[in-house]
Amino acid sequence: MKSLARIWLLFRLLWKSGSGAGLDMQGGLFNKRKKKVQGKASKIGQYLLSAFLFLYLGGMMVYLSSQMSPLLIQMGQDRFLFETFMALFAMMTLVFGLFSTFSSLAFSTDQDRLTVLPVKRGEILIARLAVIAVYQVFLPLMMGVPFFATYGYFKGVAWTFYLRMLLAMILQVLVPVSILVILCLVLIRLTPLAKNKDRFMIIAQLAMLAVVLYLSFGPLNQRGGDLDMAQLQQLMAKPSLYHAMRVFIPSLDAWIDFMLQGGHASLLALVQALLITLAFIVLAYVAANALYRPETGTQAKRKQLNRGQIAKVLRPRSSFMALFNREAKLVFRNPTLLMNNVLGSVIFLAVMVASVFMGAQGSGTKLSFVSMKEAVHTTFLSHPGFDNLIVIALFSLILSVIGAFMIGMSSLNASALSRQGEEIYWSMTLPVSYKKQYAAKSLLAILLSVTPYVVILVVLACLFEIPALLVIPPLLFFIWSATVSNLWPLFLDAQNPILDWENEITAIKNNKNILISMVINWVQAGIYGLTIYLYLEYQLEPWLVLLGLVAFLLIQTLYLLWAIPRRIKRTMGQIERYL
Amino acid sequence: MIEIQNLSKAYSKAGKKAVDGINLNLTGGKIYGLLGPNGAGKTTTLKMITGILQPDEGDVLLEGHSIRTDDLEAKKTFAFVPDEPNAFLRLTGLEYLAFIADIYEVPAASRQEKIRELGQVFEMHAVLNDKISSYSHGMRQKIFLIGALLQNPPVWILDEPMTGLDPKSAFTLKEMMRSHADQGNIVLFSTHVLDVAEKVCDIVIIIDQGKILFQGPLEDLRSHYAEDSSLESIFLQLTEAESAFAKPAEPGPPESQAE
Repeated sequence: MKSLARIWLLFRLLWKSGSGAGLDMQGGLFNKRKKKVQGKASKIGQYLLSAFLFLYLGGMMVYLSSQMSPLLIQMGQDRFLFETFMALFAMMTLVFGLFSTFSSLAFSTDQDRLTVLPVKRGEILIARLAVIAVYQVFLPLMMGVPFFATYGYFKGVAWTFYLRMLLAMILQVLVPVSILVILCLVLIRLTPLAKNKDRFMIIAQLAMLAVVLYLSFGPLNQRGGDLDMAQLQQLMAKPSLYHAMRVFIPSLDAWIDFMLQGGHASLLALVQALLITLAFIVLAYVAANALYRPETGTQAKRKQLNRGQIAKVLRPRSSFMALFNREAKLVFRNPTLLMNNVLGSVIFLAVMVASVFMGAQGSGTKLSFVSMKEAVHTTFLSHPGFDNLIVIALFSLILSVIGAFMIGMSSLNASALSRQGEEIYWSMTLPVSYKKQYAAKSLLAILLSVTPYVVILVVLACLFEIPALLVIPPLLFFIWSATVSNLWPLFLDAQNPILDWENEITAIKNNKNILISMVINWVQAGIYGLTIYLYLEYQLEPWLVLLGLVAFLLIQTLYLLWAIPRRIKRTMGQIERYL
Repeated sequence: MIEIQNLSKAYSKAGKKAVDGINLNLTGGKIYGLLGPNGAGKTTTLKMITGILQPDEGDVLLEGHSIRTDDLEAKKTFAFVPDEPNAFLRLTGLEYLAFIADIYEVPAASRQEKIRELGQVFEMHAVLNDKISSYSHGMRQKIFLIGALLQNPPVWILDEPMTGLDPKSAFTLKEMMRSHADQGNIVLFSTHVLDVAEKVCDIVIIIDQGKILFQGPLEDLRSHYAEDSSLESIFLQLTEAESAFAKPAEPGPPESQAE
């Protein structure tokens, strides 16, 4: 009993520190924010965001189930539905749990502090594995329960089904989590992944993205509503994800039986599922006991300096370039920033292009390059409403501005001050003006957000043989508008930075300034879109529309360039309020 | 020279002042030790001198430049080493030093040699190509010290510089501080380690509850309070007396009251 009590205490401690979510990479037992007093608004905001996420994912699954369940129930293929989606949830646990499980096992900084306590090593291990398992329950719970509950509604099941379903969704993660634990421990021991935390995070995030893309474009991308009986029967006959998953997760069938069957059969299936689960848990515990050695550390191999390297690094730069260079290194070496701001844009563009040219299967959007080129030239460039090149140029310009405000914003500036945390103290002692320091940061943010889009626009313009007059002005306005769209988040962060964090992710991802800036930019995109409507509806003069566009942009630009340095200076003058 | 003129700072409008009307004149050729218990106002004072915090009242002049109105020029006159050297963890030691060299315009011709020399003195040369995140606390302290020494301005401001340093590095730093001061420069550092202050400082500044209790050479402190006492016991006497002064006096026995 005492041992259980200790395990429970350890579990609560690790749970509160975010240990199982891989969030403790910098803080271990520390809170994510240093100040324990969190504003009510901030707490409400967090709950609202969680509720929104739950509703969005749950809603999506309800919709999907409502499309597929009636059809498959009618065909008497209930089991096929359960097999497909239980396998999917198991796979999601494996994929999305890999990162957090690996981080918790490889990068926890709290092990030393726990080991010195009067607790057994095995108790710490059990508590840690329990936290990992509980974290992995959320996603299948958020998605699986709405999905199967909707099935239950269409099927008209008894209330006991819902209880069995809930129990199954909670307990079914234990086998995938056990597999993850064993896999991660082996990876930690046998590969250099654990030696470089940042590199691991990038690889893990790219791997997760690859899986998401596979799911989007791969064989699972079928909507029930698009299928007919013949197609469905063909699909059921193919080797599927379920067949692959049941090899690794032998409890899958048992959980499905438990949910679908009633009476004694259900009880037998439960016992079977629990026995298999227990076996895997024991296996994971034994493996962890044998392989888990957090105290041995994960020191990367030291790289030796050579003269050429030293000379290159020490090459003199202006103070502005020194600041820019430093910022670039800090961004490119931060996995979260790298994914969100560099790779994110590139991957987003690649996915857009792939969606258009390859088409998501079953979505009906597959187009050929030739037909697209025809559409651009005949539909747009020859439209009777655009009766001269000036007008066409104007609307290309407006569209590029709309595009810039919709997609040109980088989240870097939204945390330009916040990301610094206590580093900001040190930055304040430098003999460089704040204006210069944040200009260097902003330039990087703007370059990173604008460059991929500019490149792709130029390439597309060349491919579609668009005249230069229709390319260069829109491109310039795109860059200008993207600059403005990136100054808004800096303006907001300068007003109220989040500096008191232990975990940098708090400053980067939980920053409400990103959301507010996006809203500001989308509203602007809407306003510019309105000009097209006004032009067509009221037959406005093109020069008037252009004047309005330029004036609106110019006023914003001048205001932000005037206001931002002042806000930063004022914030710096009261820095003790934020730390 | 550093002139601190009537410096005051409170963290809340109605609250107690963290620093209350401090006046100091620090001249070249000396090492100044800023001593005080926790919460005395040492770090707040250093942060106001270096421009991190804005004083509510008063000003700081560094080599004649006001930290309030001419901050960029003032900041060129000093190097600051914070107590928590947890910054720029994703840069390598060399990249951090290159950044400092660029910001403070260290001549290109000399920076490589200086870094090599300082790297060897602090036994950091082999790890300069590693990320600062991989350094221990002491190593991070050393890299920040190297950065400060690289620019070699007339004023060194160090917040708890000995924390985390191994004995050899601590000795080296003390030697460097002495040498820097002997060249006519100013070294101002805060510390809790009174032994260090005793051995190194020319002038001790004892601060408590935002006020200066004493400033002057250690000999004057001893002669004023107790000649044969250590700095530690005098310090405790001073700061406890100050605390007692703040509390209402308890009634003593009738004889002492008559006295």
